[in-house]
Amino acid sequence: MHIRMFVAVYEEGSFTVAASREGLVQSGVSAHVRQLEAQLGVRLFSRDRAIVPTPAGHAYYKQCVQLLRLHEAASNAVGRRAEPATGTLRIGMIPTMTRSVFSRALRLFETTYPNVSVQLTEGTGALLVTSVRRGMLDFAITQRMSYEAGGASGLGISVFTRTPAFLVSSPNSNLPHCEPIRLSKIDDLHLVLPVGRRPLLEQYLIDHNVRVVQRLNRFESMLGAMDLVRSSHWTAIISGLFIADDLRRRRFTLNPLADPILWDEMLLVEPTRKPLTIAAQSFIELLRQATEELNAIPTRMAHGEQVHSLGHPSMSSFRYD
Amino acid sequence: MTDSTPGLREMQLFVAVYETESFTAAAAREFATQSGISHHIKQLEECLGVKLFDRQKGVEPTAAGTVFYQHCLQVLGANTKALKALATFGCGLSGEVRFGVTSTLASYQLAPAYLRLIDQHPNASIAVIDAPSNILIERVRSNQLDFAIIPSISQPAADLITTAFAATPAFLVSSIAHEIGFEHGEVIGLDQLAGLKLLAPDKSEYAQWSGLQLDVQGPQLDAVLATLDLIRQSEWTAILPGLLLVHDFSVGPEERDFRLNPFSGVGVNLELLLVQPAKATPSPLMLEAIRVIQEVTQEHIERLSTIQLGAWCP
Repeated sequence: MHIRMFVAVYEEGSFTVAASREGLVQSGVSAHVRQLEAQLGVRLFSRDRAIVPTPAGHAYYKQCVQLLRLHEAASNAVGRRAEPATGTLRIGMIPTMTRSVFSRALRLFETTYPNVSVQLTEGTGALLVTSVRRGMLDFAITQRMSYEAGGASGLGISVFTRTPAFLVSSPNSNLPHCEPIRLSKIDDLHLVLPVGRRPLLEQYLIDHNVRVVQRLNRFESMLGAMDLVRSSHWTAIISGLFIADDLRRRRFTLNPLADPILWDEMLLVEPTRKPLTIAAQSFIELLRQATEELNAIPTRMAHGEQVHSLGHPSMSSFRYD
Repeated sequence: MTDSTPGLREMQLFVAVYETESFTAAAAREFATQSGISHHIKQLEECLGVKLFDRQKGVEPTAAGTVFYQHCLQVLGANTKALKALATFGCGLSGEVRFGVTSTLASYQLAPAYLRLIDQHPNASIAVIDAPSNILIERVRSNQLDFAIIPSISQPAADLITTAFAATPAFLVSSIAHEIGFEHGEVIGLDQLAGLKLLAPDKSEYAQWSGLQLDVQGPQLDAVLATLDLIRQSEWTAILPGLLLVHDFSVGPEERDFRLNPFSGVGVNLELLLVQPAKATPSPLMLEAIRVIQEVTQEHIERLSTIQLGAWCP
């Protein structure tokens, strides 16, 4: 119990947040930490202004988080919790993943684990990362982002996949649908730049001499941006995974960015203190398969390959034109 | 002025003297006094360290004066252009407004409202976001948003003002690729839903569906994109606000992904609420933003009602 509270305070950097995460009152959490410090005979946090772990605190955390992980795995190895086919799986994803990948994976998952109920939360990367740390999600898939204050503490982060970015414009823009383009060749670029992905995009724009005539910096809606792009001169840079299903129809004009390709990296984020359940591992595996399948055509297109049949393997019975 | 570069007014006066070849005429043209003009020209000459006019023979420009004149014309021309560029921003309101909507309005109402706002108020700075209602409420409370529009919530916050924004009809949404026994547009009763695989409405978003008591099952998707994709690809169906599906109402059958069925009688409706802080007085720009998003929403709701009243024909 002491250790669990210490880990919570370390990861959240706050007694209040740690208390709400663990369902205790704040004084309870600080009492646990104080007792732990008394037992160990060493200060784990300096409490002068902010809650900052001492060097001893850092060293102790590294071991404790492994301990919690092993502890959880031990309880999962026996009895009721060893049964993978029940319970609730709580997943968080950014829109890039929920638009097409998720339901493909879900349909396969449901046949193998009919008794596991799946809860999906769609949100921004920042929101999902916080939810994983607080134990509200079993895992999340987000885009690459910068971890500032608070950092990636308490989180296991690994690359899930990468997908080429596309310029999305209205169906009657003059760009050649599906052909790779160089942004620096476009002299009339009106670009929607959402906050979450701005650092990555701005760097690409600077590195490759892209002139943006006008930019929308404060339009924070993926759904709204797609609608805006469809009906105006505004364009957006969006992951290939997000628009993979749109390639075979003409709701948008889609062009992979070329010279060079802009790779959008998706990250798998899980709590360090808990091992993934078997159901979670299976779901991730199914997500990987669905992602690979969906990502294949956008990736070939970004590499300049002529993709004659835009039919997706699992979509072969679908009409394309 | 001796140490700095000449100002635009000095250049303008110099140009007037150069063109009229007379201090008196230049003074009349520029609504200045003659002594004022000659003072300015003297300062200009001191500042540049060169004579611009030869005053021996009337007001004759020197060679330096002629060169300077050409440059002045360019500078003044550029200034006129700069002022012109601002002219389009003169109309409409200015200031800042920040508002949020949930995915219900983000799919088809946010962008047109945004485009209308920046078109009519080019000098306004407008920030929009789509997020779940609990996050929007939190941001309105912490003053990061001026207002938000959210589906009705079970517990309205006491420190915020909540007013009715719109009531929007909901529809049974199913994939056209899977037969469920109804035609697109057919009016159905809630009792006809028995036997369908019906997804639970997103709990955090749609706490109160007026007129709806259903036994629902399946995964809990707090994600509009995933919900629509799952319906598109499977036999799952859901009851969703029509505002999310405006596109499928507007296109022909070949481009349609979903079959939409309105409900008979009073139907199923979703209440949308406007949430704003109790303390702050709304700015004119904020009221305008509310008006515009409401205008777009009403237009779309009217479009939806054509199918709901059975007036819509396939």
